[in-house]
Amino acid sequence: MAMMALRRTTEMVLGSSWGVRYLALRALSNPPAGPASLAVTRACVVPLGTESLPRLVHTTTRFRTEDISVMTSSVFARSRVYSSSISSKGEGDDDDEGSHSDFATQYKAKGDQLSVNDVIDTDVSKNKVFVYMKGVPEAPQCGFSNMVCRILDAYEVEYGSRNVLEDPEIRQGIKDYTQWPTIPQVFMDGEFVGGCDILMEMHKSGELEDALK
Amino acid sequence: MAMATTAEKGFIGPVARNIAAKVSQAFACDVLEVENQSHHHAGHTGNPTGAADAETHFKLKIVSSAFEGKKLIERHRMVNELLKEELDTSVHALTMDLKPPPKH
Repeated sequence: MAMMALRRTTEMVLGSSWGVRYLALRALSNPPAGPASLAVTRACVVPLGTESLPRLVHTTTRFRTEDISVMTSSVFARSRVYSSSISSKGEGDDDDEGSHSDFATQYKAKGDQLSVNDVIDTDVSKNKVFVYMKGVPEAPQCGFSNMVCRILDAYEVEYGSRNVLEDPEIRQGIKDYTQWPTIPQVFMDGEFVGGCDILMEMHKSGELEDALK
Repeated sequence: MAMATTAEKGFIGPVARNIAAKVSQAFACDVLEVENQSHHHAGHTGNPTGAADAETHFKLKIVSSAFEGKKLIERHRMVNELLKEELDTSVHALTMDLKPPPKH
């Protein structure tokens, strides 16, 4: 197994389930001329506080070195990477098939960067509820983002989130996408719902309960 | 039109006055309240220094027939559009309570 320096370059959503997103990390092998392929043998994520076995398991997904190579959860505060083992393989072992077919529709080969809008489209279409916020649900860095999370938590609904403070492109991109000037921004069933005030109003009026059914 | 109730809470500086002026020009308001909540957010982004005269976080309460028949998100968009310049520059957060006049 070769040592690898991992560097996060572009956030790309490869898939998601019950609110946990997978991010793609570009793995830089060290030395760069090393392995011809990388295999992510396992990347499991379980929500914090869950003692059961991980329900999400990706096994032996192989990518070419130049491809997006490693999956992990972006929401470290919310989940922990249960097990992740990365091994490198020699040139001859590689079947050179490129990305696992699971990801083919969402991720294309190198040089084809996903635009910010594509990332947002994927976020909001793959999650019933998705929040663009400051901080993470367990540690929001803004009172309004905190309020949104606490309201959603009251309904025990699973939701995905993206921390705009970590990503200036998304921070501006989401404002352009919705033509809405402030963060947080809440989406339900792929549709922009509003910010903190609107979610609170929906909560008070009972509309939110219906929307989350 | 009913007489507008206008109220100001907290430190009211040029930004708050400008918001109030713009809103009252754009909408026939039965109620217009501008509250400066910046002091609640001292030390946060948008109001890092926590200066007493900061004008970064506002609460806006408007009762206006302009909101009649409009969904909540549309009401917010009307105000966001009106205050675009402020939101793009000095105003970091704007909490809104926007309602049409109650029906009797």
